[in-house]
Amino acid sequence: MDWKTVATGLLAAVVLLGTVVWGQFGVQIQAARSRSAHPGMDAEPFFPAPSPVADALAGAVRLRLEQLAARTAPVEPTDGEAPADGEAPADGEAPPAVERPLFDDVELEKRFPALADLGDGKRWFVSVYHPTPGKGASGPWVSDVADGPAAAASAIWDRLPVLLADEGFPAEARIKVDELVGGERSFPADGGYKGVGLDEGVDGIVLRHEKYAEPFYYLPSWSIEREVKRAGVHGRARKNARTLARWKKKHTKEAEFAAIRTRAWVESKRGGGELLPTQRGNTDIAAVDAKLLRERILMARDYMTRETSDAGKITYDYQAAKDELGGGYNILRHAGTAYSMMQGYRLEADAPTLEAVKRAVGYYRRKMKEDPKHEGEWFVLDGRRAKLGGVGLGLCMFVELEKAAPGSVDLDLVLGMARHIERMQLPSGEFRSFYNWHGKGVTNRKSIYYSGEAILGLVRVYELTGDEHWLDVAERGADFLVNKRWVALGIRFYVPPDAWLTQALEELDRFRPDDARADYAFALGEVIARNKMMDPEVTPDDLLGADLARLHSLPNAATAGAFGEALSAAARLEARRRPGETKYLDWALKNAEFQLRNQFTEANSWYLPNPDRAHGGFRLKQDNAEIRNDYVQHNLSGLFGLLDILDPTAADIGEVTFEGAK
Amino acid sequence: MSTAKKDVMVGAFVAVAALLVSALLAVGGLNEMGSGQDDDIWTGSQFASLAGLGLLLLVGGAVRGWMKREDGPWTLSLVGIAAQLHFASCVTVFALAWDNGRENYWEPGPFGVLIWCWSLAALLAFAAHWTAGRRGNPASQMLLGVAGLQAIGSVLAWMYTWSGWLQGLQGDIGRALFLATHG
Repeated sequence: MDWKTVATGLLAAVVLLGTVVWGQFGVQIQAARSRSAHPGMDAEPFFPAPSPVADALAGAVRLRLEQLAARTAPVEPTDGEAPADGEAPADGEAPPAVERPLFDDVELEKRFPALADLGDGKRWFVSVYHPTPGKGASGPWVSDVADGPAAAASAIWDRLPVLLADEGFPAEARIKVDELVGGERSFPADGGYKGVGLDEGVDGIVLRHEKYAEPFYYLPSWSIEREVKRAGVHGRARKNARTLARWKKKHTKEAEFAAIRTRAWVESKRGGGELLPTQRGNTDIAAVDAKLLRERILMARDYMTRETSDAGKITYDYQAAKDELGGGYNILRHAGTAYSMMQGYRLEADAPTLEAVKRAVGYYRRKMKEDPKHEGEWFVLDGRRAKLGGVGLGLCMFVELEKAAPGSVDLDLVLGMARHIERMQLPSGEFRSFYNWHGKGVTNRKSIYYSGEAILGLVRVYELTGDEHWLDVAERGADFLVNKRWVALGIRFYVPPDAWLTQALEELDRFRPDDARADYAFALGEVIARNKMMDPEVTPDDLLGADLARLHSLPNAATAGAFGEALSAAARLEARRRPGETKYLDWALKNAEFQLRNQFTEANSWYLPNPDRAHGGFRLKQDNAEIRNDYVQHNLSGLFGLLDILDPTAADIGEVTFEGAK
Repeated sequence: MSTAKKDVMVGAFVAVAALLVSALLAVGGLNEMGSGQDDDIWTGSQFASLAGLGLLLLVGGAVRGWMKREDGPWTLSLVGIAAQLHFASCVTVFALAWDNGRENYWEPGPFGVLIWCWSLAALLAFAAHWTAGRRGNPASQMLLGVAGLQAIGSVLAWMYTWSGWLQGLQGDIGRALFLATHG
């Protein structure tokens, strides 16, 4: 053997392999290299500590705004007396404004002594937010505080739209305070490759141009508030310099730029309240415990109750950042959503929810069809397609309603759906995903999730009726998925992150324990956790428990909801089968933390045009405030399953209700 | 032509046939697999059959080449090259199928066949080049390193299907890249 030739060939092979690996990961490595640590932020916590100066600043600006607003109020005549000038205003004529106290900086500092520490070369900004339901996003109105809080408040007031600048404005407004911290950081234009040089929501931008005395500051939270992805942050800063500070377009292109960071705090509610630390367009949350889970589940339930129309349709897609509705509908997600609403109802009975679910069930019922070839068997149509998952989730919905409100459901119909699922089962145990009800042929696609939905539905039917036959059908289906799906010639080449199946296996295990099925459920949990960030030492606070995301994106919170269902199911299985172990419970708790951070609450919805509508909904991700009904469903169900572990008094997710059950 | 040379030529012919089948497999994968199931002209079974046929030819060529290795290492060298191409074709078809969502249409069998075919092809290529290289074949000596990497890759891919450690490593790499690009 000529080893020199072998070595030459090997070298060429290594170079080739290196090229392939670089092609796969090189862009990420290059992108990572375009990032650098922000100067002066090493010791800075993710969420800033409370600041007396910020408190004082927000208080002073609020007071001044209230005074400015009060000046717009009509003069109230005292009893039996005419207004000051002795004449009542003519009909249709606005009453005259009167001078009311308006504190300058000296007066404000007397009331808020911490304002004395505003200076010292620090730079502060005040932003004011106000809901504008039905009118799309508006604001925020921002001013720097270089000339003092009084001037900042007046500058904001002067810029308000006429329709908002009235005496009621302060009661609806929320104030956010930003303090510029650390140094400035250079970054490649537009953030470099896919914008990776910038973190949306964490990085702001300063633009400087010789033609303008003052630099333009684009504050970090604006990217989250306006759903700007990292690759668009620099461009949006230039655009905002034009629209907000009236810079010329060519100057925004010529401007020097750098990344900035701020500490920020926002008032906890409309009309004031304590200042809450905020970062990446979000506020912090309390530690996950049963009380918090219960509160948030009910919030989510109430969101969906509010969003259920008289006809029983549940708002499919609410774009909360714009206060607009998106299009589309999906009967599977409809059924899943109604199912989770009933979980919320089981936690705490609530008449509007029960009525809303009954309407939703009615809507689903109108989409059902009796099998023309098999009398007494029922499926549901999503458009023209009869999907197995639609029947599986429909069963979950019906059973959940019947468990909570016995006598509400037509049991014959439920059993007809279960019989349809059984008909969809092949001798191998595999389920077909689509039913050829019209004889025109259907796709041979095998949905990853429909089978798990169907099996869970069958197990739930057993929990309701006690008929072991449905467990037999479920067991055959589960065994196929566990032992044969994506297994060939001795190789299992794929374990999917199948949350529905994990739940089905956990509940099936209660009645028909089987080690192989339990191990597979744990494997599903492992697959899900493998792509999550679970280490608090290295993960930003708000991303703990989140899934990995692509370069240009932040982690998906909707997926975290579905994974919460799976991890909490695995945790319940762990509690039964591996007493003393808490691996899956720990994962489920971290996942839940990420879930809860992405639910709209009063605290974190300050920038939405219609926070009341979004309240309780779960968004797609931090920089995308889309709330789809299935996002809320997955999150609610996952939290419900976790609460089942943390609180023994809470409703059992797989409660058995048939007569004679142990 | 001497009998020995004829024997060598038979082995070479089989290797070339395997090479053509591999090429057909790759071309089929690149051209016949659309993004939707309705675009498919070849089924998973057809891809699997081609992969299996290619492997059979390779084994046949390798046996012939091994038996006649003293008459000339070129047959084994050709088998090695064909096996390397077959490895690449099987990997390509598998990747294309996965990328186009075929795991939701095909039975698991074709995927299993593809995995076994590329693994065995890689091991065969290494063995063929090792044998031919030791007998002074310069092409095999040059390609032995590539064949070694392919074999290691196959073993790692197989291990990935069951090794929690390897799967965890993949997650660790993903997390490191995420945290290096998000703050």
